[in-house]
Amino acid sequence: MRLLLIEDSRRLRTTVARALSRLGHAVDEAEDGESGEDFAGVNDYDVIILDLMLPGQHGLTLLEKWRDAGRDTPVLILTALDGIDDRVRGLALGADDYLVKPFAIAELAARLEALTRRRHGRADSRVMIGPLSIDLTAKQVSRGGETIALTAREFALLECLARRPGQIFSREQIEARLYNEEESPLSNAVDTAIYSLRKKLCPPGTSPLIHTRRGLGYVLET
Amino acid sequence: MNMSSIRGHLTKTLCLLAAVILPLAGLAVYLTARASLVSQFDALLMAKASALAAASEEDDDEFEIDREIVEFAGFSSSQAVNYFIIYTPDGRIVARSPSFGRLSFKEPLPHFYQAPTFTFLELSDGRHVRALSQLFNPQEGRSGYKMIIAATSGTLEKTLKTLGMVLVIVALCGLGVALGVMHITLKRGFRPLDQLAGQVQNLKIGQPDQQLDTAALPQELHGIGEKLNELMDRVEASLARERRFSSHAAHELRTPLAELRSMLELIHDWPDEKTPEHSAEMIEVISEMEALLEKLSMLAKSDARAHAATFTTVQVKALVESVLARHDQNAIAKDISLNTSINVGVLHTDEVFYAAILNNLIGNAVSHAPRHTLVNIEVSEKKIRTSNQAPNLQQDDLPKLFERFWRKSSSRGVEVHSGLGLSIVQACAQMLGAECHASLNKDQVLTLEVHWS
Repeated sequence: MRLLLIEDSRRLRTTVARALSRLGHAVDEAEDGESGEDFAGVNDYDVIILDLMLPGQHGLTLLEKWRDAGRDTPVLILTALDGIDDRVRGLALGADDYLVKPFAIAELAARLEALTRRRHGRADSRVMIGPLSIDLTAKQVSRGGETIALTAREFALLECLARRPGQIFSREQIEARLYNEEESPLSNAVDTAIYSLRKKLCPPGTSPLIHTRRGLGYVLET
Repeated sequence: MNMSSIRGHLTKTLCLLAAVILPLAGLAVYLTARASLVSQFDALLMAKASALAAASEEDDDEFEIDREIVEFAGFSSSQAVNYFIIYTPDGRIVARSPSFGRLSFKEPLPHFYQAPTFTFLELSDGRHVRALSQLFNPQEGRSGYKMIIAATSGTLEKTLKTLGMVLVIVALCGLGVALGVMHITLKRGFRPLDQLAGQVQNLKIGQPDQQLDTAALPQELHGIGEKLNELMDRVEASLARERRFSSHAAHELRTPLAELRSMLELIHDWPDEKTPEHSAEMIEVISEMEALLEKLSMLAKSDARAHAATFTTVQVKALVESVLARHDQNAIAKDISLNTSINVGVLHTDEVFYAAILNNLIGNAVSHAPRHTLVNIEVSEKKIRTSNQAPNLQQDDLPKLFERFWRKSSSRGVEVHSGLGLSIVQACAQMLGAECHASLNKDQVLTLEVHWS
């Protein structure tokens, strides 16, 4: 998932971003409302994690702006404000979820996953593509009942393709999902990752699942 | 639980009073009426006695009485209502009314004196009579004759009995009516008190805008109602203050707790993330939380007046230098020059509170002053004053500076400010009998001053 984390506490921001990165997500970090707005204006995120009491611009002001502009990116409010009024106001202004500090990283990750699933209209966290079974929450993959071990980056790539089976993703789209603003992947990084993923998902003698559409990109389908 | 009721107590007391006073009053009426009736009866006997004495004479040692007068005075046999009997000085009966017939007075007979004596006697047929006995002198006769004149007292007794019964019935009815009236009066009289008690019982601590309706209260309870409303306002204000304080305190602790938890989870789930930098950051978070808790604790103690000022001799210069040493590193890092002026050697004050004022004022100045600027610190017998550049501060912010948890920006940013430092200054200043003042000049220099008058 490509995530934007807008949080003014440096230590919390870097730690949460680090943990989400280790879970295979690409996370952009913004320390205030202005830079958060800039990031959101440039990139398409799966979920935006938004603190409320930000320097410069209040989180709710940002949220209101996005919703007024018709932006439907799921927003999870992550704040120390635990009052019912604060929750109601946040959700009423268009937030999709509300998590109060302190929180467990696992819960944050699960909520992010649920928001993404909801955005793609799926109730189940498992995706079946032919013999391939992907559990997006447990981050487990199996083919024909046999578990396949993937790295976080490989799983993130598979997740990107599996969220819309049959849809072609360009290299740029995949890059945007796998790498944050500060990472500078090599030009063939996506091809290398696809190659590695193909080897694990489709051993010799099995039908291919990731197909190359020349000049367009890659697609996951049977 | 043994709960006494004012209304119950009053009802009991008034009932008791009514039960005692009404019979006593009845008894008094009865006795007065009886005395009056008996007195009238006795007056009649006296008149008859006078008539008999006037109608009697002694002639040649023979006692005689005028029969016409006897008849006229009602002693005839046919009437059998009035009786008389006359004895000689030696006790021999010399005359008795025809109304006696075969009757006589039952013994004992009364004594005889010059003055008339009244008593109740009984006839031999059992009837009661009221009798007058006295010594008298018949016309032209010896002294020492004795006379008993009596009249049946049946009518008198019947009248007194009827009066007694009427009075008992009236007393009982009066008691019943009095009890009923008392019950209704007390109930009505206590209704405002009951309503006030009901309203007070329905007051819920923590629910805003609860007031007693004092307009409906009688004059005697108006003051109580007003005072209760005032106390409720104070309780609500105090609770609101506590809620705000707890909410702020919880809020201030949530972010560092979230930081600490996230760091620990990161290290737990990915052990290779356990770096010296992460460990240092965790210690930093814990230190900040400790500092915050220390401040909260100091404010709580100040609120509860748990720590009374203990005045000792304080070496001001040494104290200021020790406080400055705590902020040196931060000042050096921001290239801030500290210009200190100490114009007092020793002070008789509470060292803990005085040090807290110095520490928070200097810490606040160093923390908020922009880089490469000057912070002035002036300490004298009557004041502590710090001044520093505050480019983002506005005049409107000045009244809020000493509010708890107030920060110019609500965000946490790089430097963590709890927003408690200046409220601690104010609390400590109050404990030491000083006042706080903040001013901002046109060059955006903020001056904070604690001064003793």
